Amino acid sequence: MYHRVVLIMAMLFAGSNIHAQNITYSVSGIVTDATDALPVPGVLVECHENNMSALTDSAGVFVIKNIARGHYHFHFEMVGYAAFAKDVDVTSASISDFNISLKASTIELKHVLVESEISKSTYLQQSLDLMVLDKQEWTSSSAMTLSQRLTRLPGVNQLQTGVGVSKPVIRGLSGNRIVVSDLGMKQEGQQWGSDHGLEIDAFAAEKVEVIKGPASLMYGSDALGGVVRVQTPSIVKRGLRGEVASLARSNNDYIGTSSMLEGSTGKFFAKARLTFSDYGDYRVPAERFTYLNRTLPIVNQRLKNTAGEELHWQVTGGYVFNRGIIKFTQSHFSQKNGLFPGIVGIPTGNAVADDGDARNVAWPRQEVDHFKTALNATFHLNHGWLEVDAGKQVNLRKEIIRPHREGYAPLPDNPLAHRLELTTYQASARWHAPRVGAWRFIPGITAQQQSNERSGWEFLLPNHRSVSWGAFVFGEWNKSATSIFNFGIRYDYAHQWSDNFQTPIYAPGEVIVGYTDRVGAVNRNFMNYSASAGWSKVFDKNWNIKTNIARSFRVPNAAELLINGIHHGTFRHEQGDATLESEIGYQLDAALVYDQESVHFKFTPYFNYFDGYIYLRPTARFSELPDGGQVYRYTQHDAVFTGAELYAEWHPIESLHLEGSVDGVFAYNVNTTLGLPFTPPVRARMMTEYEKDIEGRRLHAWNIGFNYLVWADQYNVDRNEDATKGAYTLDVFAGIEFKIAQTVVNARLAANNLLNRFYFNHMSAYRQLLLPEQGRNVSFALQIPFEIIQQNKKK
Amino acid sequence: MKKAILFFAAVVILASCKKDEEDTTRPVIGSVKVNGVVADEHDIEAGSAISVEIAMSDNKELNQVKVDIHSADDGHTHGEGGSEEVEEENIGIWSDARIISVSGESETETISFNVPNTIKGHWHIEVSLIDKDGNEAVEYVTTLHVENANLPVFALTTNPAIVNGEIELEIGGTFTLSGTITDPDGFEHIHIEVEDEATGTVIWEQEVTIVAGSTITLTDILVGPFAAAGDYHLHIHAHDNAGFEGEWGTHVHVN
Repeated sequence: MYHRVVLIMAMLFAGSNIHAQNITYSVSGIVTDATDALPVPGVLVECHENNMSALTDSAGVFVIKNIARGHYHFHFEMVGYAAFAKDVDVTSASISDFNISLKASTIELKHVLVESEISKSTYLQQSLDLMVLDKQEWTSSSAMTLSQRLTRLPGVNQLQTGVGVSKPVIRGLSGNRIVVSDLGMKQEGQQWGSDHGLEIDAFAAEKVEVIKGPASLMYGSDALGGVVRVQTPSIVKRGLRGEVASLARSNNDYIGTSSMLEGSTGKFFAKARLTFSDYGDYRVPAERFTYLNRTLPIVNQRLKNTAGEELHWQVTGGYVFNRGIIKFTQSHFSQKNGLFPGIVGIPTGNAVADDGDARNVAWPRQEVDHFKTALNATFHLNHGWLEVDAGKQVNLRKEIIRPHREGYAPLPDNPLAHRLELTTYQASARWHAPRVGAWRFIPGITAQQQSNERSGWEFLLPNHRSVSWGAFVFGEWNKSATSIFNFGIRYDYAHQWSDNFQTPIYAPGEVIVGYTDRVGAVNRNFMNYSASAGWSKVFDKNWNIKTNIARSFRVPNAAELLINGIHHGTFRHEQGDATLESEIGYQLDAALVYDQESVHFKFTPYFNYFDGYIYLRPTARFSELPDGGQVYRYTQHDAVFTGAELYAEWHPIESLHLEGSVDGVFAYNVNTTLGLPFTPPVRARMMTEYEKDIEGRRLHAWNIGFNYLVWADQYNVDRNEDATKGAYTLDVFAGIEFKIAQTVVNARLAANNLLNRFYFNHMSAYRQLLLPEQGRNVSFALQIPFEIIQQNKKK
Repeated sequence: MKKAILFFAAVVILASCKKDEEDTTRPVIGSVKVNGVVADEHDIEAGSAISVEIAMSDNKELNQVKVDIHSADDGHTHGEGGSEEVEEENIGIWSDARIISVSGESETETISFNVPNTIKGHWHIEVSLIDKDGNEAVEYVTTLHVENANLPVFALTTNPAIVNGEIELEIGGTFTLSGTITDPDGFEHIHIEVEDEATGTVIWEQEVTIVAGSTITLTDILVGPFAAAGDYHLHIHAHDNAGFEGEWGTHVHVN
C-alpha cells in the first residue's frame, strides 16, 4: 500500500518536471519604520515555501532570487519591531515593489509568526487556537520530557508514571485522541496504555506546534482532541556548526547531554544529534507512604527503582533546490525506566526496601525502543506545492517484572512479562493548490498499515493488524484581510483484524485442565467522515475572534477492541469489547484574542460532545483470572468535555515580562452523571521575569524570575477514582548569556518546587499509591553553540 | 448533531442545579478475622484449616467479595544497604481465590481454607469488595506466616559467611558449607546446586550421600570455583521419606 503511494507521488513529481519551465523570478522591496518611514537595515526576510532568506541592507532593501512561479509566504523579523507576515503571488514577472513597514513593539508578538507547518495558515487565519514553542522557549525549560515542557501551555497537561514516562493531555483528552506528529508521521507507539510514555527525544524537537481542539482534517481522524506536531528538521544554513546542551537536576541526580552537528553546502545539508541521559531514584518530601491498610517506609526519602537511562540519536540528510526540498531522517529512541516496585503487586516492606543503589534500574521496569525512517519532501507542482511524508516506525516495548507464579501455573523462567512490537508504515501527501482569487484549497490523502506481534508470559493484547486510509480537502476563503473562513471534509476507512488467543488453566501440580478464550478472532471495518468549518475575524484592529465547529470521529483502537488481561499496577482486569462502534464528536471552539503594543490576551472556551465516548468503566464483577481484581470494561457512553483557557501577557516596561494563565476542563459522563478518569484539575500559573540585554559586553544578557503554579482540588472524578487535593509550587530561575570568542554561551540555574511542597498529582499513575510528587529540584543547564566553518556569503 | 445542541442546553441547566443521586460511595471492609483474630500477620500451621471472617457494609447494596490467597514472597533484596525485613523464600505453592456473591447493606461471610501441608513461608490474604454499582472498597491485605514442622530443618553456615543475604567472592573463588539438616522421617535424597541468576543455567551441582537416621551432617563441602563475575544462587533441596521437601539457599555475588 505504502510503496504504491510513494510510487504514485514519484510519478506525479516526475511528470510535473517534464512540463515545468525553468524560468525563475526575483522578489525585492524596501522595509521601513512605520512611524518615521526611514529604512530599517538588518531585517531578516524569510520565504516560507523554499526557505530562502535575506537581510535588508543599509537602505532597507532586500532581494530574494531564483523563485519559481507560485504563491509565497514571507516573514519579516527584527528586534524591537513586531514581526510581520505577508503573501505574494509571483505570476509572470519579477516583483520589485514588495515594500513593508514595521511597527515598533516591546512585546515579542511571536504569535504573529505562529503558523501551522502543515496548513501554512497564520495564526490570524486559523480558526482554532494554535500555539508554538520554539527552540528559545525550549532552552528556558529545565523539563526532562517533551510532554513536561508542553505543560507550560494553558490547556495542556501530562499523564505521567514517575518522572521519565509521560504523555500530553490536551483539554482532558489524551492517548489515541491526540495526534503526536514527528518527522511528518503520526507517532504510533502503545499510546493506549496509561503508563506508556511518548517516545520522542525532547532535545531533538526544534519547534513544536500544539493545536487545541479538533484537527482531524489534515492530521488524521484520531486528532479530535488536538495535535502536538514536532516540526520536521529545519533546513541548515550554509556552513558547519554544532551545539552541546547539558542539563543536570538535583532531585534525581539527573544528567543529560545532547550534542548536535549540522552542515550545509547550500544545496546539500546534513544534521546529526546524539542525546544521552541517566538518572537515579527521585526524592520526595516524605518518609513513608500508606497503601491500603499498611504503612511502608520510603527509605532515604527516595522512591526505589524510579531511576532510568536513555540514549537517542537522529540523523537527517537533505537537498534543497528552487523547486523543492527533500529530507531523509533516521532515528532511534531508546529508554529504560524503572517502576516503583510497590506499583506491581501489593507493596511489601521487602519490595520497597533499599537495594543500596539509587541509580540501578532493576525489576519492575519498562524498556522501549522506537525506530523511525522518514522521508519529508516538498515539490513545486503545477504552480502549487506538493508535500509528501512517508516512513516506517517500529515500536518495541518490553515489560520486565520479577517472574512469579499466577495461580498454579509454572514459574516463568525469564522476567519478560510483555513484549509488544508494533510496526507501522505511513504515507501522506497534500497538494497546496495555487490560489484562485481569495480561495485556497489543499486536497490530500493518507494511508497506514500496522501490525503488532506479542510475546511474553503475560497476556494483554493478541497479534493484530490494521489498514487504514483517508482523503480530505481543506479550503480557505480570505473574504477580506480581516475576515477569513475555512472549511473541510475528510473521509476515513479502517480495517482491523486479530487472531484469537487462549491461555491454559492450571490445577495444582502444574497440570493443564483446560483453556480460557482470552479473545476471539476479530475482523471489523470502520468508515466515517469528519467535517469542520471556522471563521476568524479581526475587528477594531487589535481584536481577533475565532469560531470553529466540527464533527469528528475516531475508530476504536486495538486495545479498546481486544485487550483482556490484568493491569499490574491496579490489579484491574481490563477488557475490550470487539463490538464497539466509532466514537463521534461534535465540537465547538471559540477564541477571543487581543493584541496591543505591550499586552497580549487570549480567552479560548470550548464545548465537546462525544456520542459513544469510549472509556474503561468499572463493572460490579471480579475477575476469574489469577491475581485479577475488579473487571473494567471498555464501554461507550455519551460524554461532555467543556472548559476554557485564559492567558495574558503584559510588559509594563521593556525588561519586565508578566504572564498569567488559568485553565480548566469539566468532564461529564451523560450516562453515569459522573466525571471521567484523569481529568486535569483547574490550574493557574503566574510568571514574572526581568530580562536585561547589554549590547557589546562580554556578559550579553541576564534574566531572573519566578513561576508560581496552583492547582485546585479535583472532585470531577469517575467512580473509584479518588479526589485529589489542590496544591501549589514555586519555581525560581536565573540565566546569563555571555560571549566566549565568537560563541554566545547560555547558562541557567533554576529551582523547581523551591519550598519542597508535599503534594499529589491527579494525573500521575503513582497517585493511587498515595505517592507524592518530586520535592525540591535544583537544575543547571548549559548550552554551548559553536561554529566550525562560517557561513559563506559569497556566491 | 441535534442531540449535541439539545445537550448543550441541558448541561447549562444541569450545571446550575445539584448533581442527582448517583451512588459513588465505596463499600467498606469492616474487619478481616483469621481464626477469629484481627492482625497484620497471623502465624498458622501447615496442614491446618483456617477460617476467614469478613465483615462488610455498603450504603446501598453489596455485590461481590473476593478472597485471594497468593504468595507474599516477592524476592530477596540484594542489599548492601541492609533491608529491614529479609524473609526466606517460600517453600511449596499455595494459591486460592474465591468470589462470593453478597447482598444487602451489611453482611458477614466466613470462608474456610485448607492450608497445604507441604508449604512454608508467607502468603497474603487479599480481600476486595464491590457493590452493585461497581464501587470498590479499599482492599484489605493481611499476611499469613505458615510454619511447617514436617519439613527438614537446616542449620548451615558458610565460609566466608553470609552477610545481608549473600556471600561475596572474587573471581575464581570458592566457599565451604557446613552444618546439619534434620528431619524425623529421615531423608530420601539431598541435592545441592548453584545457578547463574542471569541465565538460569546450573554451573555447579552435587548429590549428598544419604545416611540412615534423622540428621545429615555436611562438613566443609567445597562449592565453586566461580569462574566469572555475576550473581549466583545456591539451592539445597532436601526430600524426606514422608514426601516433604525443604529448601535452603543463599545469594552469591562474584566480582
